[in-house]
Amino acid sequence: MNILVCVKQVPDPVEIKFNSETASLIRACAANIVNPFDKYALELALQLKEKHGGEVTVLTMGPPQAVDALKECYAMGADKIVLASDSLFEGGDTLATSYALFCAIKKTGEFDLILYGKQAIDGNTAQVGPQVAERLGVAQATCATGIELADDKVLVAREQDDCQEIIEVKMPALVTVAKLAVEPRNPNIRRKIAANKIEMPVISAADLEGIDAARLGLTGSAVKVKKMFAPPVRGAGIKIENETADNAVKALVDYLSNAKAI
Amino acid sequence: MSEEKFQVIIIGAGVAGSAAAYTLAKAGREVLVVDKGRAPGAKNMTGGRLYTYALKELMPEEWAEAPLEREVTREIMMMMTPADSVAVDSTFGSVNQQSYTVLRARLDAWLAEKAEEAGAMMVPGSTVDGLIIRDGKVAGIKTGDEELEADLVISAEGANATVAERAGLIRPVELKDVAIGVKHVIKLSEEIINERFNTVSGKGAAVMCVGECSKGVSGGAFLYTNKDSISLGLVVDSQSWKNSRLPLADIAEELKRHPALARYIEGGDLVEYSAHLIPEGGFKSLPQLYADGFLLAGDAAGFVVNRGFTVRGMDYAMLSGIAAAETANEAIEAGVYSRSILKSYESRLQQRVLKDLALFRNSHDYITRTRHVYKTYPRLAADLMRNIYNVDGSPAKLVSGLVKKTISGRVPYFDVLKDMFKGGRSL
Repeated sequence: MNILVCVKQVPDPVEIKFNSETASLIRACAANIVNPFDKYALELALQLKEKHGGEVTVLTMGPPQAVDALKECYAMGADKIVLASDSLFEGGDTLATSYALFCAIKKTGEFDLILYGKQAIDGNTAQVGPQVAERLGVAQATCATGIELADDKVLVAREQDDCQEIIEVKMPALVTVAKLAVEPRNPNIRRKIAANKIEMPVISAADLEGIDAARLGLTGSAVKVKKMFAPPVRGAGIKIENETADNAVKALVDYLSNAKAI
Repeated sequence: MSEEKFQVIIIGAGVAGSAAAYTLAKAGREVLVVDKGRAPGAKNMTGGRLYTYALKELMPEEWAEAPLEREVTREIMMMMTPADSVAVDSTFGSVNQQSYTVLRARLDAWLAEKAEEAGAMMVPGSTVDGLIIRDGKVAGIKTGDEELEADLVISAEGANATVAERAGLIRPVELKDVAIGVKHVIKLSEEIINERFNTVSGKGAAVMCVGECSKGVSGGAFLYTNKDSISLGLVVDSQSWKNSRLPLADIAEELKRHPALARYIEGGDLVEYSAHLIPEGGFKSLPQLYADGFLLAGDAAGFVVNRGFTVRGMDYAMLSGIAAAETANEAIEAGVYSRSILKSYESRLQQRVLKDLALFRNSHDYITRTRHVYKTYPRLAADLMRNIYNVDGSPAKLVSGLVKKTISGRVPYFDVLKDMFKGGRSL
C-alpha cells in the first residue's frame, strides 16, 4: 500500500513572539517544528505500514529550511521524502496552496491513501486537506483518530465528543488526522544519522508540467489580507478587598449598577 | 540498514564537544556528536563571558563571525551591603578583544553548525544512556535500546557527567565538587544598555559582586551586558548554600531588587532563567582524564577556575576539546586506542589547563571558607567609604582614624591580614 503524508513546518508556539506594533509574528526568533497533527498523521501511516506493508512518502511545501521537518519525518520512519519549494508558491492562501500541493502530489506518485493533519497550528484553517481531496477527486474523511483497512476501503474513526463515529471510505482516499491516543514515536539515532545523510528531491514549479503559475502563491490567492491587528489586551479585574461582607456586597452592587450590568 | 561505525563519538554539543568535533572533522575523521538538547546549546548555560584566545585558536579565520555579544572593556568589582555598595570600576582601552560576553544558545548552535559544515555528524535530541565496554575498553555508546560503535568516545557531557559515572570511569559528584549557578536574562534595548553602562554598541561591561547579593552564602553575583540583554545571576558554593537553608530562587530574586543592580535592569523583561551545576572542585577534584578508548573534556573533566574576579571554564573547555581531538588523531593514525597512547592527552593539557588548575588549587577553598568576604568586608568597605565622604559638622577625623573607627571591634586586624595574605597566595 502506498501512503502519502503531507506535512507543514510551523513556528514552535512555545517560542513564538508577536510584534504588537506591526501585528505580525516575529519569525526570526521562533524555532520551527513539524505541525503536531501532521506528526499524528505520520504515526498513523507508519502503524498502517507496519501492519499491512507498503511505503510511506512524506511531502511538504515550504521554504528551503523545511528540509528539517522532512528529515525529522524520515528519522521517524518515512521511506521517502519530497520537498516542493519555489518562490512562486510563497504567500498563498489555502486555495493556492491546495492547488500547488495537488500538482506536486500528481508529480510524486500514485497513492492509495493520503493523510493530512486535521489542521496546521499556525493558520488553523483545516481547509487544505479537504481542498486537495476535491482537486484529486478522491473520497475524504476528516478528524480521524484511527484507521483500519478493509479490502479496498478504509474504516475511519472520527473525533467526536460523546460518541464514536466510524465511517467507511473507498480508496483512494484522503484522511485528515486528529490527536491520537498514542504520541508520535521518537526517532532512533540510526534513523537520525541516515536522515542527516539523505539526498532530498526538490520539486520546483518548473518541474510540474501544465501548472498554471497564475493560480500559485499570492497571485493565485482568493483571500487578500487587508489589515492585521492585535486584539486589545484585557485589563485586570477589580478586586474588592478589606471590606466586611456587607460592605463588599454593597460595593459590588454599586459597581455593577453603575456599569449598567444589572 | 547497514551497520556503521564512527571513528569518534562525542557526547555533548557544548563548547568542548563542538571544538573536538570541529577539529576532528577538519582532519577528515568520521565523527558523531550526540546531544540530549533539542538543538545544540538548548540545555547549556554560562554566566556570560568567553575568553576569546581559545576560540581564535580553534578557528583562526572563522572566529570573527561567531555570535559574540559584546567585547568586555569595562570590569567592575563590587562589594555590597543591603543598602550600600562600593565598586572598583576599571575601563580598559589598552586591552583588545580579550573577552566577550556570550549566550550559549547562540554560540553553541553556531559552533555546532561550523563542526557540521566541516563534516561532523550532529545528532541532537538523543540522550546517551551508557557506554559499550568490551574487554575493559570503551567501544561505543548506548542510547535507548540502540548501540553505536566507535574507536574512541569523548565525553564532553558537562558538569554532571552521568554517562562516565555510570561506566565507573569517574566517581559520583559530591557537594565539594560543584557550585550552583542561577541566571536571569533580562531583555533591554541595545541603546538603553549603551546608556546605562556608558558604552557603545559592541562593547560592554562585566560586574562581579560579593556581599549582600548572596545573603552571606559563600559565592557571588555576576552581571554581563549582552547585545540587547543583561545576564544577571549568582554562583554559590553548594555546601555553604545547603547549610544556609535559604531558597536559592529567593536569593536570586532579591538580587534583582538590590539598588546597586536594579538600576541596570530597570524596565527590562525577563526572557530566560536557568540554573546549572559548575564544577568548581578544581585541581583536587580532577578525575582520571582518559581510559582505554575514552577521553574526558570540558566541564565533565572539571576544567573550571573561579578566582572571584575572573571565572574561566569555556576557554578551558575549548582547549581541552582541541587537545582531545589531537589525541584522537594520534590514536587513529597509530590504530591504537589504549591508555598508553591516550595519556598524551594529559601532556597536551599540562602546559595550560592543568597548570592553571594546579596554580589555583586553593582558590575554591579560599573562596568558600573565607567567611569575612561575604559579610564583614563588604560592610567595612561600605562603612569606610561612607565615613570618608561623611560631612555633617561633627569634628573631622584623619583617614587613618576613620579606618580604625571602621574596623575596630568588627574583625581582628590579624584576620584581615591573614585573609589578604592567603588571598594573594590562592587567587
